[in-house]
Amino acid sequence: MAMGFPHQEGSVVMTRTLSIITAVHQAGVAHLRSAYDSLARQRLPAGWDWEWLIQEDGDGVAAASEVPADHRILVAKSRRGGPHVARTVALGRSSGEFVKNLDADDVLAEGVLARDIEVLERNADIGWTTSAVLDLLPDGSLASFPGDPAAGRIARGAVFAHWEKNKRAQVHPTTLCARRTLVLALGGWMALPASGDTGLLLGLDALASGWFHAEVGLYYRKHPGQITADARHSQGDEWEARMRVIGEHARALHKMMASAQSD
Amino acid sequence: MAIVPVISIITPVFDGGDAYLLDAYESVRSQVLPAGWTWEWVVQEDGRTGRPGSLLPKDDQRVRFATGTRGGAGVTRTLGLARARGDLVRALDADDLLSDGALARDIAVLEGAPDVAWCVSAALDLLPDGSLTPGPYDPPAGPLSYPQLRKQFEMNRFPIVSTHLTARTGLIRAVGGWPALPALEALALLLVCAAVSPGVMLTTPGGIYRKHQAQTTAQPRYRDEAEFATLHTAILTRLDSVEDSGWRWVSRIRKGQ
Repeated sequence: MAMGFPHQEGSVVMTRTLSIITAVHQAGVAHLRSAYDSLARQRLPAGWDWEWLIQEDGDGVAAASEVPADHRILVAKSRRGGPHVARTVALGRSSGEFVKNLDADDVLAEGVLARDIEVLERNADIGWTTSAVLDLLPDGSLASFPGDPAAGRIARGAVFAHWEKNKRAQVHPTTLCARRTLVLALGGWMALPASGDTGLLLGLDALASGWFHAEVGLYYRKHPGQITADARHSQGDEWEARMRVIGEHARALHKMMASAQSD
Repeated sequence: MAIVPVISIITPVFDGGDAYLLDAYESVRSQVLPAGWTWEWVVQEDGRTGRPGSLLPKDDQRVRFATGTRGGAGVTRTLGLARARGDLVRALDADDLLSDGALARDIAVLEGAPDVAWCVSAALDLLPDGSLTPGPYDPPAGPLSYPQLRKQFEMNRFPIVSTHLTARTGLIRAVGGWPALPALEALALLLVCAAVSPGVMLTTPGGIYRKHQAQTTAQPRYRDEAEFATLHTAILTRLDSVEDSGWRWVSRIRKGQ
């Protein structure tokens, strides 16, 4: 790590960047300030800083008026396409080595960014991390998410194996932090109205091993208006279609990786 | 049981964008396929009104309509991909037409060359006065060079109509379907296919691209410059990562299989 001062000739200050990506639509800006506060409280390893790419999903969001002036916040707007389209557009604006998702209505737990960075820096073969989640209920209480895997390394392909059996991932894709190059190669989040983050998680799992932090990394706000509270999120024809295309994507990637290794 | 090979035509449509849907159907229905092949037309509504579906013939089992949550063309095409059962996937926009023999030519190229993963055919522009004109930058017939395509995209002179892509379904699945971009998603998919696998240009026009005032790409809001600059960068940075990954998608199809 080069140390020095920006005005000093011959020295370079290399700030390494973690890109936080947040999609926000018109009805979703209400909690953006608490998301910011949770970000501002994070302490990053020396030499690291974050940038926060807020992507407005359609007109009339005005995210900038919900957050304080901070040069690390980069707000842009794109035409409405749902959260996965907005996140993928934000990915195109990002510049960090790692990218991490943060939903506009959620709150980061203390220390999570440092833990994500530390694992990805220490283990070159780990492509992505997820963390334990506590549900933040409307009355302010917290509830845990059953079925977390053991802490530590998740072998490549393990998320897919679990998902094939249960049609749900055993780790929460909302908490993903991943090497930007891998996310880019996959094309970002999958182009689906929902579950596009599960599609990305299974894509990452096909390419590289991951890591699970048993320490809580996110407070996941539960409220009646959220997309995942809609019954269509987890049943019906569209759900079946989403699960099918996510599975086929992962299988095709595994095949492509297998044939690359046998060459 | 004999397995009949299928080509799936995937068409996204939104309520109000369906004025030419029956013309598209007629152009699909009149296709003559190589012996043993059949087609299915996967029409996916960008939204849940069901109205575009009510225009479609009820007595043709090869036409399969479904609705979904609104998300734009990339999301809608990818939901269509989820329902596709074909060995090959052909994109077709709801306001465009297939030319006579288009599917047969695409199938012949991909059946004849197992290593070729995708092909794209030239387009004729259908102008409001009914006249047809060829595209301005059509490349010559034969293998398409990925570096050349990328360079032309960087110069804003992309030479082919990306919605004329026909590809092996396994390739489209491996690259995740159409990317989650609010525009340029068909072009982005074609470039990613080109980055990981060989493709071929067919100069006989495979479709007719209707130019009309109501089309999405003709709306003043379609081309927001700041947004397009971001999309342009997003597509190129993805291509950089795909190039660095060294991925190659290899068809498992062997001739005669």
